[in-house]
Amino acid sequence: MRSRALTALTRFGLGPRPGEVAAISTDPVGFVLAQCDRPQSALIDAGLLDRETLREQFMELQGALQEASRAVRTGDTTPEEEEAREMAVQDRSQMVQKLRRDEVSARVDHGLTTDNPFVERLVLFWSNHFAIEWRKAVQVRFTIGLFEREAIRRNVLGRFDEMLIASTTHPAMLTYLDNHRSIGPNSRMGQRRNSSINENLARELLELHTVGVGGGYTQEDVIELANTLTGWNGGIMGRRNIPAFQWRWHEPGPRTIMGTHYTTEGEEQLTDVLLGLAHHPATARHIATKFARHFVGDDAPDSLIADLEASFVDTGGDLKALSLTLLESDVAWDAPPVKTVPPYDFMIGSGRAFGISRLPENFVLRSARDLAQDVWAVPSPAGWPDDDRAFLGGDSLLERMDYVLELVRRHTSVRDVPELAHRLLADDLDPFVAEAVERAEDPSQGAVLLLMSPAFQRR
Amino acid sequence: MLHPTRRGFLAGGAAFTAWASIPKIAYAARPRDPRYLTIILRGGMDGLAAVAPVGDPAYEAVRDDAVMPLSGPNAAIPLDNFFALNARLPTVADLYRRGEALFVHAVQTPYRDRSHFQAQDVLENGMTSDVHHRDGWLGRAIAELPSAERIARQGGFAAAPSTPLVMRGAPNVVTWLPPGLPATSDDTRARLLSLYEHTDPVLAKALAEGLKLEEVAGTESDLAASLDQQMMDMGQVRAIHRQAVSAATAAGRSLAADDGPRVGFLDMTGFDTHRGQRVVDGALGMTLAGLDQVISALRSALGDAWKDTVVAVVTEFGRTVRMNGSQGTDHGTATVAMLLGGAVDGGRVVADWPGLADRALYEGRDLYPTTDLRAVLKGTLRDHLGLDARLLGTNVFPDTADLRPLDGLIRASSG
Repeated sequence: MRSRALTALTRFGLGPRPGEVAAISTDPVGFVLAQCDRPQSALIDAGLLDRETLREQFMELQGALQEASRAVRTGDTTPEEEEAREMAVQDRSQMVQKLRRDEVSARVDHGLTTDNPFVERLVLFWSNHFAIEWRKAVQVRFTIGLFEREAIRRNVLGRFDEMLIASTTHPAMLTYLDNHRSIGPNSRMGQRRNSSINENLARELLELHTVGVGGGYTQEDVIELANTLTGWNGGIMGRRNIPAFQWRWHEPGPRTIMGTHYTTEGEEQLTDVLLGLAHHPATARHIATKFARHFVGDDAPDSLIADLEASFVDTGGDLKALSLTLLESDVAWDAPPVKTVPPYDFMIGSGRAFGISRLPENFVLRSARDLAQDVWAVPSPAGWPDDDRAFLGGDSLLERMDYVLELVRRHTSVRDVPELAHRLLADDLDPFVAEAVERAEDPSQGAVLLLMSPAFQRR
Repeated sequence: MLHPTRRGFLAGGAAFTAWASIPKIAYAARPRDPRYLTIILRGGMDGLAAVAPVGDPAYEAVRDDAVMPLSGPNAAIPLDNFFALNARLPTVADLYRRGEALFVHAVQTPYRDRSHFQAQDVLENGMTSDVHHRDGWLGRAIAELPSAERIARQGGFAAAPSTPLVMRGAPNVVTWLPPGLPATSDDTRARLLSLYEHTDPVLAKALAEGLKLEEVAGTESDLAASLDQQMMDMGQVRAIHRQAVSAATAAGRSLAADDGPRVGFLDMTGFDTHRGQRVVDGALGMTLAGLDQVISALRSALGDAWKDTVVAVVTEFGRTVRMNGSQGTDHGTATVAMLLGGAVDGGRVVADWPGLADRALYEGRDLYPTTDLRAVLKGTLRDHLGLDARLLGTNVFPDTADLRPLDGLIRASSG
């Protein structure tokens, strides 16, 4: 059976660093519990742009592009006008590329170096719960990193309702799920021209973010929630300066959603509705189930799910309490390591194993793609798959081997792999793995065999 | 009363046996082992530049400088008295002459806006709107196949990092990526397999499957060598298309193998030709040359299995009928779809041609869609894979019970 020290660093972490298993072996549970008192450790600074700066940058570049495009559309376009438009497109896409590199490398470096890897696992869990595909629209490309920093990182050990409000009203989420185009037919704007609501965000809010598929909502509830959301656009709309909540687009009137009547109006109404959904019993059940399965596996016992659900209900969705409940459960520590480590976590974990504190962003981005988990390129609003054997199909293990080989060749100078194996796994080093590493024909082969061993692939 | 058991059913009345065995007799005459591939051309292929309606009286006026040359070194290949094929597609032209290529023109999915993202989702999910990411039409089609048949059992092959939307919903899809990272040696792989056999049966099985897939599809160095061979005369093919060609080789080999998958997916980019498109020597010509290489690689890798193959080549939308100010075309509506393979009843262009005159255009700018792409796909799935038309109208392409599958796309001997 895997020791609790290694479990603390795998199931509840991002993989062991050299010497770490031995260092925490006297109190592995305390090692993880203590991390829950450090919510600040989830934050990344690294000189990344704040919301106001990003908004200004976006409006400037998008405004220039719209102006150049208008000139091209007027007929008898001159070559200079064509060129100006081309330049504006290039300026914008260069900014997108730069933002992506900066945000991804800050995230990866944080993962490689954090002393609170459980907190980073919470970030990855919640970021996938509120999944956003970064390429969807240009506003999303600008704000995806900001979204994770503002809506997720600030709240992973805070309150679910606050995370839900931050996520739902964030420009990245509003544009990703088309809410910036949703205009109430009886709103000031809707009365002047033909317009309609867009149900996309409302549906995912119910199905994925809160009460879940079996949560008991109807199509009527989706429409009512979509009406509540009208007017919320995030405030990143090209040249025009539009407030994040545009009341002229908002469908007026009270709402009834899943049996609860909401009489507040405008901006306040969404807050009330989101609070109602965050504290709905079906949400507690949905979150508890997902959380248990993420850390313990597809067959996480009902008793654990029930404990998490009770904690969520009793504390009104305190996420620190949710983590503590998980960590205080024996079954969470002792269930066998059935989950496959996802490619992104494996990339971070292999860096930690070799003591690497920085990886070039181009290498990271290319490797993430090759390993089939490109950063923020989720396949759908439901996020990356999270079942035990996700990412195990086809040639995925071969790709992981190739990744370790390149990592070892280019970014480390590990010579004594058998010694590293002992420092990483201590008493958890399987005799077959020790022997395979011992007998490897060269250090890079030894490193591949070590990092591909179950201790690094399953948790 | 008890329901008849399966055993009882099989042993049952002569009337049952008679109708139940008819398809089997047909199978016995020529053992069928159908292969089905979808190639998605991402970016929106200009149907008018791939298969040009040179007989349309308005064609020359709308295409202006970018009109298809009918003589000279890059002369278009005539398909009939009305349509001509782009000179950058010689392999496809050869298939057409053998009756193994069919074009359906002025097709489009039900999508009518002009966003790549949404249009590709609709193309893949087989629905009327883009907000459905759970599964796609090809995945649902695989899921509907009788589970005992080889085609269902052996699942799907996708040249993609993870199962693409169009194939989601299939019970069993292997994914494969073109060569990228340097490969670990066979020796390292064998050692790891032995390590897993001693420590972790789940990882052992997954690695064994990966190695098996590679054995069938070809190793990366092996593929690189075969690519170099194919690319010798193709100095013009872009590096980005080398990956698509190697994916086609891997897909073809996998589908040809006795125990390999029977349904495949791959995709290509480079069709979003807003600038410098021209016809044969511009951006689009280069990409079409890449597509032609993909088809050629696929045909040779499939070998004998080509005769049992249907390849549906589809794109998310067409482009504007008129050229824009940058010698390109912008996002449009209807376009052309290609059906290729030995099982296709080809050598024809099928079109309810809407015309290129101003008043005939969709919203005054695009080729008017006259054939629903889903009817084309339904025709191929029904006649090549034997899927029931009713199921196609409910489970594979929901709410299309009234949309008849297009008849006669597949050779009778094959269906």
